[in-house]
Amino acid sequence: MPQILNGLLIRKVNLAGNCWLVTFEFPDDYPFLAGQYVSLKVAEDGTRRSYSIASAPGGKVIELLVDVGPMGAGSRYILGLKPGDSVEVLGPLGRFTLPPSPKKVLFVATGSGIVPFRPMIHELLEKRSFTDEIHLDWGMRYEEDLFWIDEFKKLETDHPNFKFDVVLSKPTKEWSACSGHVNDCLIKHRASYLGWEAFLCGNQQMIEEVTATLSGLGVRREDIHFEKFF
Amino acid sequence: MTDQTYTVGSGNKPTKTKYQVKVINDKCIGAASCVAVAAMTFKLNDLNKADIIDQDGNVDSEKLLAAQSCPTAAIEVIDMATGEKIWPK
Repeated sequence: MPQILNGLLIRKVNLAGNCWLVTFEFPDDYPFLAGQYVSLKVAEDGTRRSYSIASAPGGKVIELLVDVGPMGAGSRYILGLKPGDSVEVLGPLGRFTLPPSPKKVLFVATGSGIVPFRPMIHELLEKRSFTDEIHLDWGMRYEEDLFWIDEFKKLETDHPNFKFDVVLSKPTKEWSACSGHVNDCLIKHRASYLGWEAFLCGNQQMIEEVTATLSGLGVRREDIHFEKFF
Repeated sequence: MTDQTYTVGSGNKPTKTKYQVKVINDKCIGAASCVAVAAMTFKLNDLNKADIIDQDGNVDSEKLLAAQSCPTAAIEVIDMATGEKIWPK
């Protein structure tokens, strides 16, 4: 059951471009499931904004990644926060979470849609010792907007069953990895995704395209889970 | 830092509420925050859209919070006594 709690901002870091990682601490452990989100009160009139939790469950601290690109009420609120400020947090919320026994897992994200996958992947690899294949495809526009690359590369090194690909839609000439849309690269990676379970998070167009592609490549509709951004 | 201030959705069923809620179907993305906050008022249907099951299922403050926490502002709240739209503002 969600609760309204006051958290203290203890850290705010610009990861890249418009993306800020903000860290809140609560008086007690903050229980949630990897993939869930919280709703922050960002104005006195009751206006709220939803942000996926970027950190792994456990402890009194949660991290949120906020893309301030839209520069709306949430962006302005986050940019105005400083360490020590108190924030009203409603949560945890959301049903976009890992099943108890997933199949081979494909994660497909665009932009900040990668956020809920970070704790999910850590949970699978480090807490559940999941040994079947996990593949993360992350679509972004520009190389300079990327973050968490070293972290995912290390997971890839430490866990042979984890594969990570970045797909840039606006790559430089020097970019040698995947380019275009994530949907294009899924087809290049595998001829079939039969027996896979997919988690999609990002814009509606990506979700519709990837759902259609994966359905045609053997993934059952009930094994495609998604969280739309808006 | 303060202690926990409020646990939502845990109260008794009210007899009569003054706020009426309405789901804008096209905006609903099935995020289910409304169900988490006001489970006796909202449920998700087979299309992963929010349905209203009981206008008096939760107290007004919980119905308003359900609307305010909707990521897509897909829930409208009307004060039936005045006809005023309470949310979104």
